[in-house]
Amino acid sequence: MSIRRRTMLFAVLGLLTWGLLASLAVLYYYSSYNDLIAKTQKPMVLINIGVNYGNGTPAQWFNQTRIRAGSTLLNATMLVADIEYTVFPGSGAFVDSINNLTKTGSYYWLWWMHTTYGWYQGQVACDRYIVGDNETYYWYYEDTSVYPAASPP
Amino acid sequence: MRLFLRLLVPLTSFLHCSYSYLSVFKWLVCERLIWMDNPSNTWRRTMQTVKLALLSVLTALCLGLQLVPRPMNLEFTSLLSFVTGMLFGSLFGAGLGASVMFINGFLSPYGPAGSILPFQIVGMVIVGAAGGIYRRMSVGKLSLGNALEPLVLGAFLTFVYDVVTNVGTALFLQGPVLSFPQALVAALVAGVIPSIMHVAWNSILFGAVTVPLVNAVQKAFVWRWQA
Repeated sequence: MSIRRRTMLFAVLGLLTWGLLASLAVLYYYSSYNDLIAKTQKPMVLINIGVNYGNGTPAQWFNQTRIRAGSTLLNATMLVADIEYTVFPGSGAFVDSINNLTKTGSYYWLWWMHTTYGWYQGQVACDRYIVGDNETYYWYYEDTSVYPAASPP
Repeated sequence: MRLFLRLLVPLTSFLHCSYSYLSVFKWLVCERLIWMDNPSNTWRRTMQTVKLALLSVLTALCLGLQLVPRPMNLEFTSLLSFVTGMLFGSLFGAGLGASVMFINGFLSPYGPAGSILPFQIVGMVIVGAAGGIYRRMSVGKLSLGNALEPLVLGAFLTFVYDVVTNVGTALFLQGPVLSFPQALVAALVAGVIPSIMHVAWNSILFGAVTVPLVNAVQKAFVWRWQA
């Protein structure tokens, strides 16, 4: 392969990677911006939070909890329960205990959100998720050594 | 589970290292005696055995690195698969990538890979095979001036790897509501920030390490190129 063609090949590969990543990043920030705008239309939002201690008893529900728009799920959970958490730089807050029930072995606190398609496991740390009006969240103390993690009952 | 992982990590490394030592022992004791009648055979067998031993050590190294805590999206398997592909050919690079991802899929500290495991394996096979193809494109010793090429390749191959693994995620997400193309775009968009970090880390690693590492190994194992 000639030097000219080789240079062209690597330039095209580099530009292709940069172009595709930049386009995806623009889409990501555009959708995140729209999501944030939609969630902060009102000054206050009402949310439902369930806490399941994983001991077979029904979940404890805190329905119609009022919180300032733009708050995170961590802020919302702190309103209804005593929690302890650890902040991991770059990743966010990881909840260690809720109402004195601490992570043990492979049992951890995971958060879920109810959507029109069913329960959806939180994909980001709870301090990275902005709560929206009329959304329902569920803290579930469950065995994380099982894949996929069990969704709320 | 943690105790199980703590035990498995050294055990896996031990097994791989034992395999390497056994291979070297076999080469030293058995093959040199049996194949000594024909120098050509001895040489060929020696090459195969030493290559296998080196690959086992590399696999153990990759697994060890995969299982230690590290900054998010920083991994060395892509780099080592690519370099192995450059040094030993596409098949070996792809084999290393596949075996490391397969084991990592069960032992990763971030949890089991689950349904995306086959896609992770395919992604790393592509990276390892690309190393062999790049080697064929490069003639003679690589100069530091060529570092830009591995840098670009690192970024491109990491992006390809991320797309392939997102195909697995999209297959999992698709259903009555989301078609496969929609699920794929959703997975790619949702995962773009980790992907950018992954691409950035690997660009730096490939750009900074590939050329010196390949040249050093070539120098240390000069016999490999003469064979």
